[in-house]
Amino acid sequence: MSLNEQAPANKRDRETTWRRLSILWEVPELRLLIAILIGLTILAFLSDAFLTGRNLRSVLLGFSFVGIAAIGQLLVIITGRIDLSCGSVMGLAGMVCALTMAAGMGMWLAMTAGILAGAAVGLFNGIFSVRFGITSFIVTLGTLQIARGITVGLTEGGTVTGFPDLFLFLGSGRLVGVPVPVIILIVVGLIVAAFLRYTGAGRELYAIGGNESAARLAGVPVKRLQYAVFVASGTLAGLAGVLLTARLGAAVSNAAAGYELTIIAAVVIGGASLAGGFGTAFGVVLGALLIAFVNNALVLLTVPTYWQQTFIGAVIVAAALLDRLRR
Amino acid sequence: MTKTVELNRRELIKRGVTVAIGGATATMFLPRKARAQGSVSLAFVPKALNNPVFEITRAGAEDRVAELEGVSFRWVGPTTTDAAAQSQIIDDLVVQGVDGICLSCNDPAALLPAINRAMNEGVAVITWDADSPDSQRLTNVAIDQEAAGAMAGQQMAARIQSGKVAILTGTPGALNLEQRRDGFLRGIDGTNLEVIATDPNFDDVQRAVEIVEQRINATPDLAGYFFVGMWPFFADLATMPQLRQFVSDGGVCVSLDALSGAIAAVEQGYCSVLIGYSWYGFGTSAVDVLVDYIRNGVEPADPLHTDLFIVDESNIAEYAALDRETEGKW
Repeated sequence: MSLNEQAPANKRDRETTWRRLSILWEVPELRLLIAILIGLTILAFLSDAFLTGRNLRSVLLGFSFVGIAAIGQLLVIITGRIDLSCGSVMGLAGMVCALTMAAGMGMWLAMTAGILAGAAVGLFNGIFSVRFGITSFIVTLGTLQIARGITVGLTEGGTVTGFPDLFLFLGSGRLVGVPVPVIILIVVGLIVAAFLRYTGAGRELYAIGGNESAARLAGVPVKRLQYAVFVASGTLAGLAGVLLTARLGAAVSNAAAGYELTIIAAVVIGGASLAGGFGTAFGVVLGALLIAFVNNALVLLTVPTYWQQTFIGAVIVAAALLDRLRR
Repeated sequence: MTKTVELNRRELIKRGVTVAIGGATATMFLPRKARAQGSVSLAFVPKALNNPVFEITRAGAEDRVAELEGVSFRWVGPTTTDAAAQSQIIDDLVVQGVDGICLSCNDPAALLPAINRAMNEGVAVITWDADSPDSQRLTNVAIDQEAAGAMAGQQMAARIQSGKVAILTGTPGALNLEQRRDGFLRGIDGTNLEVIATDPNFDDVQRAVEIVEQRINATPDLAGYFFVGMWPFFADLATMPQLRQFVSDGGVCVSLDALSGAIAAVEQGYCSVLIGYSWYGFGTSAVDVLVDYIRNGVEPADPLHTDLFIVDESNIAEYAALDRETEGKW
């Protein structure tokens, strides 16, 4: 091959490589992952403590509860609705679990009761949002208050403690060096990711979020799936709440108060659209992870107390902007 | 001559409503002291119903009310910390005709108008714990927040003279927490202790536990840790092995509040010193102050500071026994 023929060939190779990289950059989760890795690299340079096993375990443990609830939230958001009650449901489920155990029931029964309490709130949300056609924002705003009110009412603001060791292990124990709640998050994430990608019902959720009327005309069982996503969101928030209680070794009536905003932020940062039709479980886990590392950075870098919320908010907006620019 | 008037149903309702509104209005504008001659109705408004520390004040108030004749008690507040909701609750209580209100303020400025409105309506208002000092409230039943912080600083300085110190606080800007922090800084003034960070947990127990672990991990040469409130001790102590290690390695942890979880923390080696005061006593004192003012017109001293005490290794057994005996209500 002459030099004249070789030059265009090299140019073609470079263009192909660049095109491949451009396609990779179009994958929102990958872009978020790269952003996180860049952030973590900077953090590792700025703080010696960052890459220690203890610190990473602490961060992962903290993020797992938000991550589990955020995966449930994702299912609702894909269909174009929202569940504002998730933080309160976490508090309620943890308290129901603790009180059931305190009443002498077995640990597994108590955990089931807590998770079922979450599912029940989800069903309630589904009935009022789907059956009666009330905007999910309003219905779940109501159940946010109801669930928190029940949690406070059950104990009159008190705290429940005194759980068996196995329960505490589920909240903060480790298997092969990995915190148990993180393992549960990974399992939940894989199940939901497989459901969304490989099942008809999973793909139908995106269709509902994209265009509900068109999905209905195409024969998608819209109402049934909408009920299902609210129940799933309540169930996963319930699971997260039970694990949070196990983590703290105490059920406090203000547990997870205000977490709904962090959970929704994790879903949006992870690439989901509040208008529906977009989002993946992997993206949501990355979104939750980013928020957890931002919180960790506040401690490690000793960000001034009064500016911490501004810092967190700025990162959330920047992450959402990054995703918006792609669209 | 007797005049009989035949009233139809509509006329009856109209007159009935007029009489009811007139009666209610007249009652509303009667001086509260006059209405309180026989019975006294009190309402306590905590910062939030979901905070267990306020329940101890509630127990103190209820126990004291049970000892008094003709005094009724209500406990009403927002589910979560919300100054606007507290303001509305105060307005509602005034309309409902309570004689006295005891309030722990979520925000001193935001609650000021509602407190002043209530006082102008003749309702006796006092605050406990968190104050609204510029309002017309009669007094503040509380601790001297700065003195408590200073005592914490002195206790730390008595144990370590130099090194890095971290502070764990709740929601930035909360008046009582800021005063405690200022007092602490005054207490360690003149030592070689250096405050390297003040981490807010926004009153979230989970976040508090996370911060404590991450701060100790991030600062291997940390010498002292000051908890402006006992948030981490609401969790199971076993969830904070690094805090225990920190204290057993010679680190000094000083915390405000001496409720059950904090007492257990000193007992089990997670905390060195507590600066305590009686949340139960807030309840009994507040009832006494209000009833005395409403019934006898006795103006209370302002502020009414309750005693502070120190819990450490020298007296922990005594306090632990008291805590168990009273189930935390002391």
